[in-house]
Amino acid sequence: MENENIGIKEKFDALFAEWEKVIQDPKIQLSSRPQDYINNKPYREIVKLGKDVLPFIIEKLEEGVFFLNQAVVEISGIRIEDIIGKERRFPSEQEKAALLINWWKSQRQ
Amino acid sequence: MSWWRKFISWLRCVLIKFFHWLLCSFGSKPPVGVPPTASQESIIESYFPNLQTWSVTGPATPYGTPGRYNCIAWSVGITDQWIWPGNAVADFDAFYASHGWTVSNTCNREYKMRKVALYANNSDPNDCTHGSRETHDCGWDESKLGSLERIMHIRNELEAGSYGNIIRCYEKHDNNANLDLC
Repeated sequence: MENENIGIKEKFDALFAEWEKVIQDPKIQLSSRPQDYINNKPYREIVKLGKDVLPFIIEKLEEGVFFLNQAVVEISGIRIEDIIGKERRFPSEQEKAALLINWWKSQRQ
Repeated sequence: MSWWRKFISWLRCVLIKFFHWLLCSFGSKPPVGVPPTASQESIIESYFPNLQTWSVTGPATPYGTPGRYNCIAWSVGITDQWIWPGNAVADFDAFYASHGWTVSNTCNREYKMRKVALYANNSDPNDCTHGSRETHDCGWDESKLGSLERIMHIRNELEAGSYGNIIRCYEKHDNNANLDLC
């Protein structure tokens, strides 16, 4: 199991580094739409790694990489709408990340 | 109102118009910000072919910068959050309404009114891309360009580029805005 996790971690780190390079493209940097940062091959490959990669993604969310919010949503099947208060209508990506981190921690307890 | 008060009001308006005419006619440079570097010019102008007169009013907020913000956050005065309410005009109508901005009948400058312009690819109301906010008189908007710099520009100079065209404007009352249109 530990070896499997090491394998996943290595795959995740490699794909994450690749993704970081992809989003350096000025055409993407000019965009404010999260979808423009996540509709690329390495990001989709990260999602395909499945639930085992969630702890590593959550670490990145804690470091401020909020464009990984969607990866958590897709892998876990959770809906942001379900964990956000009804009074908060337009959460920022940072707020969504905080909610997902809290959700993750609550699942681990 | 007595003829004297009317005269004073008229005179005040004429003086304001004259002052703004001077300011807008001879001040072809953006009123705030620093000139772009050659590198900024080459990158940003390659995506916005109509962009000619602009300045940099805020630094880029690249990956890893704390308090990253984007155009939509900036358009409602927030500079430490990344906000994207959805891709459709209806999403933006609801978002701007929640910040006190209402849909405007025109994108032209108006007396005591500030505007936010919403852009979309191919004018498709389901493919919104950007928001810019009028921050100074004489038609100057400011835009946060995604993760890149915040710039001041003439509103329509961002059109026909990476963000497509303006499809809608929102407005909010501002006692100090565009007094030259009195």
